[in-house]
Amino acid sequence: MTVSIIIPTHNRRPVLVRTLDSLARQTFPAAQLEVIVVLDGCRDDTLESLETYSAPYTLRFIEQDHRGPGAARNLGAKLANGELLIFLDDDIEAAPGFVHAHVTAHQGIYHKVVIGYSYPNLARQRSYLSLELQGWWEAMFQLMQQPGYRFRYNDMLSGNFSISRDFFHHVGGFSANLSVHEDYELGMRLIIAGAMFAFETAALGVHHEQADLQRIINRKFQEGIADIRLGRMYPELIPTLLAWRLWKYSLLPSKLLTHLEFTQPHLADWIAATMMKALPRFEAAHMIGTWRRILYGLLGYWYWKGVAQELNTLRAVQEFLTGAPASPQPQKQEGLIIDLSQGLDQAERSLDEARPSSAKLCYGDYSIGCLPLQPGVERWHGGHLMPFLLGEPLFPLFKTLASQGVIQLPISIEEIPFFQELEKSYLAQQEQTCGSP
Amino acid sequence: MPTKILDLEFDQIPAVITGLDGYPRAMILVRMRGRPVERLYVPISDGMIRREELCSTILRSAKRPFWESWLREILSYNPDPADERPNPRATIAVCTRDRADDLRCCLEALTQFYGAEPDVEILVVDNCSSSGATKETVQAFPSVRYTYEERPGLNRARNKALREARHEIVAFIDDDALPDANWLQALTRDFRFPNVACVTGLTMPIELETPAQEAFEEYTTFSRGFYRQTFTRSRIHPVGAGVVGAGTNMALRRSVLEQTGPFDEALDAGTPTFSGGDTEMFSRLLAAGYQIIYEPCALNWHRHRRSWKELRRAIYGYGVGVYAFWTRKFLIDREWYVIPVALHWLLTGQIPTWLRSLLRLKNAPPLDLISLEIWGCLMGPWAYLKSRRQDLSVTA
Repeated sequence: MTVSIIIPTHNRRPVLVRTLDSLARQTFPAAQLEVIVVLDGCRDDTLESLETYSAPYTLRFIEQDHRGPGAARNLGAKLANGELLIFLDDDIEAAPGFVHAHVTAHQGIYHKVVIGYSYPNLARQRSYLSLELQGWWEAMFQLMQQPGYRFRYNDMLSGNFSISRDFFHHVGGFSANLSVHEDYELGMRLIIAGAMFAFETAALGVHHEQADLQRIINRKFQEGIADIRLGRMYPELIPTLLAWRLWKYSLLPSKLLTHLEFTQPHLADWIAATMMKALPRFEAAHMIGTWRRILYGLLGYWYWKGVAQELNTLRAVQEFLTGAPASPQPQKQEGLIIDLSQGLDQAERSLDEARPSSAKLCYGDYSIGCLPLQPGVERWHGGHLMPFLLGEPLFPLFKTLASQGVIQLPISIEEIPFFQELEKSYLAQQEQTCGSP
Repeated sequence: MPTKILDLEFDQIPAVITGLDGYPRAMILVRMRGRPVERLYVPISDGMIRREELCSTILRSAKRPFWESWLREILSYNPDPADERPNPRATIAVCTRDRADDLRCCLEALTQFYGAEPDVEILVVDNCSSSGATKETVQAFPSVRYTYEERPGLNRARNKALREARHEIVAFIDDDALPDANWLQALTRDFRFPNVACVTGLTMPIELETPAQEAFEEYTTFSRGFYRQTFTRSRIHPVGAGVVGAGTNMALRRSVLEQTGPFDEALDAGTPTFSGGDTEMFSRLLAAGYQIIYEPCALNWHRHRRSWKELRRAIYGYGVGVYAFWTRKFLIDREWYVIPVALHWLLTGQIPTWLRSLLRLKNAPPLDLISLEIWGCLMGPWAYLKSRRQDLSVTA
């Protein structure tokens, strides 16, 4: 298999060179490897250093006016000759088995999208912010590592992932309308197209990120804008947006600040600026709890500023958020029925073949519930089934297994305290996601 | 009132368990295909336990880990393919001092499981034993390496083990503990994730024959439950790192310690602080942004001290150790948050417990134990200072 690695870069020559060096140390044959660097409006000496850079693999580079990483990645993909595209950020230093791991993880499956592990290297950084940042990344990767995890559109991280060139072009590449979260938007189209996501720990890169509060805040502002645009494109995603959660669950101080942001922007700006100045003092005093609350308050503030730029008034925000479909529509059930009495293997095979958005779940004649429809989440496949069964359906499953004589229980299942608790939450959940039977 | 320890596979419970005469109750470890899933006390009548009653009791007290494992069994679910990857190579380190008999049992079990494994090294650190018995015991096991640490202190011995170990992952087990069959595999599996600096496991009592052993198990159990847990600094404050696990069942990544520093040699057994060295390490790793995983499948068995005198010393030592650890956090890491936490612990935890013991209320621990623990807490800060002074004079 031939591979093209696409690296967008913007004024970061030393960082980029470290990444290119790491690609020269791959276990994967260099003859089958092509690296395309897209210079996105670079004004430093990146071009000069690429012209003299000697690499064992084919190194190509192209310049474009500064149009953002999405456009740069599309341009790189257009030029790529490899059957497999690996998108890599310029600040991720690849481990020697990186390319090999991406290639093997695809197993020749056309719909596969492989997300690599970008390990945040903050070994010498010990500030609260860098540790917090590392915590975010690790929490995300940890979730994706769980067997049978169902990927969401916002798990799509463009810094380290691979996809077959044909599939990438089939879904149309990155959107040019978004300056950030263009990866989420691509993730959504991939999910609609039936992509099968996988996380690969061995596709390891060390992410040399500098924790910089100003940069994070600027990005939050951009994310506020991007989320509203995403919500306009895909209304079914609105309940998954940060704006939705902040609107519903923020505590009073954050709510007040948000209100001020729309009504008294100067006052709100002054408060935010004061909070930002106070942050290092709380760190110096080792007050992690207060520090964290202020940080999240600030991030929320800047996010809302982005939202306000798109939606202007609180009324518009409210209309936008209430314009979302109530919750995943229970009515839109597909016809597929998964019967567990045929054995787990058979059930998994049916899911793998059908890749449904939702399905009914039963054991012989007994209904267990459903595999719910969830917008923005990849379609069901066999690997999802067992981890799902270990969650909410545990109670009806054991009830059915006991009534069918598959297992012998010396007492009635209703007497078991664990299931008494589970039954309530299960019924509530069924009501919400599967509708009334 | 001794308690019988029973280790049972759920689908292989005999119709009647006999030979339990003299035991009014049993502590049962329930397993599902070797995996520990539940632990419970069951009363014994007429020296026997019947399967029917036992199963009902298990089902009534079983929580999620039990049901999940059972469903996996029923549907014959193929486990995590990642489990099939080879484990990282590991050094097993046993730090010991003048306990040759315990050590022999420990080494017998370790060599039985790992003696022939080329990727596992077994290392005994003799922490200045007073006689040659420790060395002689180790020499009976050709696959075990022996090393000597001449300065007293468990944390000094641990640091010696970290320096001497041939492998990147170092798994610690106490000389008075025995590994379960799958212990090392379960304890080292998670190190394939680079941000995991430490994994701790489940420790069960080998026996509860004396009142001291029973009191130890009820008062300061090593057991942290049957849920696998991931600890990070955003989940728990490093000051409260004691919940993470204990030094009798932990594995560490050596390269991480090159960055965060070795064990604090002013802490733990063999010094005036008696304990706290493991917790302080967990705390430092969490504060530096690393993950610690508690993995209940990493099971080992610990022989609690048999006499009440030893128990009293241990409980006093835990009190000293916790406050010594907090003293270090305050003085060295400048973590003033320990002051509210320490006061909170004393005022809402220990003093009310002490009052309950004083009034002989139900479920209250023995008065001498809680009194000793509180006394130990008050001594902790001074013990740490004293220990540091000694440490400086030893190093100088």
